[in-house]
Amino acid sequence: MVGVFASLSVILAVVLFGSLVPQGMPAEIYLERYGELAGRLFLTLGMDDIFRTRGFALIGIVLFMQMAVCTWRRLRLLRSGVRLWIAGSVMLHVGLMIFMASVGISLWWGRTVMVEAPEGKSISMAGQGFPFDLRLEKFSIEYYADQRSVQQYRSEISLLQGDKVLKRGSLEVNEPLEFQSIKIFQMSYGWLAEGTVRRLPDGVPESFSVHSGDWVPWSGSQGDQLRVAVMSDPDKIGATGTAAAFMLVPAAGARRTGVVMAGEKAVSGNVEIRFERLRRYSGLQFKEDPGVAGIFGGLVLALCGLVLRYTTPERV
Amino acid sequence: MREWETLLLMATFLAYAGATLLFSIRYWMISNRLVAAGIAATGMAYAFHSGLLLYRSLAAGRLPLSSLYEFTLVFAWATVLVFLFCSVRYRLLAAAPLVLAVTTILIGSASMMPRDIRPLMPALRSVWLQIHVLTGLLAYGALAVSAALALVYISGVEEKNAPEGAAGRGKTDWSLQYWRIPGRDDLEKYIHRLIVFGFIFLSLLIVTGAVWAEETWGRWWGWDPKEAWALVTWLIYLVYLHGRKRFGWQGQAAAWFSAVGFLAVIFTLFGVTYLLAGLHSYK
Repeated sequence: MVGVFASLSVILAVVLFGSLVPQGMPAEIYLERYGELAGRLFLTLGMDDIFRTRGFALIGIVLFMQMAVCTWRRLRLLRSGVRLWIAGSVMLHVGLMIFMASVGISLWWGRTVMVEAPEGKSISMAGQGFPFDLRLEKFSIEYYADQRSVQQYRSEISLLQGDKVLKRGSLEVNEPLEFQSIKIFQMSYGWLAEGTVRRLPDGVPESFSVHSGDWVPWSGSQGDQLRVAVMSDPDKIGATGTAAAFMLVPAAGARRTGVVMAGEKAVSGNVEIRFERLRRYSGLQFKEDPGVAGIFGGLVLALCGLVLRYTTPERV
Repeated sequence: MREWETLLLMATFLAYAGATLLFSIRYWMISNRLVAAGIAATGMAYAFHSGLLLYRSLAAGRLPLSSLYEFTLVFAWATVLVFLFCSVRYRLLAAAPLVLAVTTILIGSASMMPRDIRPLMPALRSVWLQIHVLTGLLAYGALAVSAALALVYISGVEEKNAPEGAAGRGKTDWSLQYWRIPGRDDLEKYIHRLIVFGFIFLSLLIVTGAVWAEETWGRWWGWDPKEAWALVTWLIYLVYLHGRKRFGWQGQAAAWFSAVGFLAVIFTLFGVTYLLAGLHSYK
């Protein structure tokens, strides 16, 4: 019991620390904030991502073992007759142990993949280990009567295997789509600027599809860097008639900027930029987690045990 | 129509403030009239408060659970509900000044928050919103009242002796029936019961939040500041429950845990919302 108390206190201290000290930020920020020596120590100890350190996992394992011992002792007490409060206590501890074991399963065997699916295009999921390809048929946003506040985001998708449609359905926030043991969640959305870039006079056009403001990956760049940004909000004015601003940073010389309308091309120095169109994408999360059922099952059992433990008279 | 909301809010605030004052004076002055006036003011405040929530629900076309302003109002309402139950069931009216002071502060804070009615964002359009928030209200209401009783315990206040023979003088001393500061053992027992009740609903709050997060964000836990602080609060009360069992923490220890635990509740509600940005920052 003293050990459990100590473990709970350590977990409490770690959670307090992790909630008050920003986690998961770039290393430079910690070095700047805490200085070179303290910052390096901070990073070495994993305090920038404290909930994923081995030390934190170890506390969880120790707590699990302590609960196993406590449960065993309570089970022995039950031999001399079933008392509801002890049964409740056993349920509570067993539930929490199932929960913790399932968290381990989830961390070890669960996987989550984020995909930005462009509207009307198929993307291969085989590389991510999923037995299907994905096509986003349509992404839509529903608004309330004020026409400004978003009511719902919805993606209509098809899961494909070659030409065969395995499943077609729609998903929205709070309503994920389930296929076999995989759940697909609506996470985000946005626009991709699509076009081509080539070096004049005889360079081969290379297609690009980037988020507004991103650098364009370009194999024929010869050290030049190209950035494309959409000039208006397509959710407000629509995707047609949009203009994109570009910035070309040559390997040598001054940077150049310009504007190009959708469906047109612009030439800057010896670089030709064609801005084809804007295409909507939907940010989808694919999740396969064999631990989730155990996590919630364990929590429900623990809750039932908690109620039984504290609502029945305690007699020794 | 928005003026009605402002009027109800002001009336609620003033009535709670008046009730707090009347019950506070009662600590120094034994008077049936003070208790009667305090009860009347509390009843009036609660009626205004309920009217305010009803008005807000009708205006928004949904339960008022989606912004910090709405949650603060409902949290205060649930706290008074738990307190009224305890007053009738355990005759704990003597804790009224503290509970009503907290309620008055909550209503006052709410009056400074944005009150515009916004449609529910997609993530909040779920039946889990009602379940999750209502479990939270019961948990926080019970923990607030336990903290008020804990402060009574820590302060060591004892009821002044009633005039000799007061209890036997029939209806003129009826207030002594409800206005009493229990013996320290009883007080500690009530604090513990309220913590247990609050802890069960706090656990339910965390579990329902996890189920909802799994449906909405595809992850049942993400160490978001609100989640982390809900866990901190839960761990504080869990340490207390274990300490009570193992080390016999009763009396002052229980009272201090109750008070510190409630500070964690307040920080989870307001501190995290304003100081630590995260997915739960619904202002």
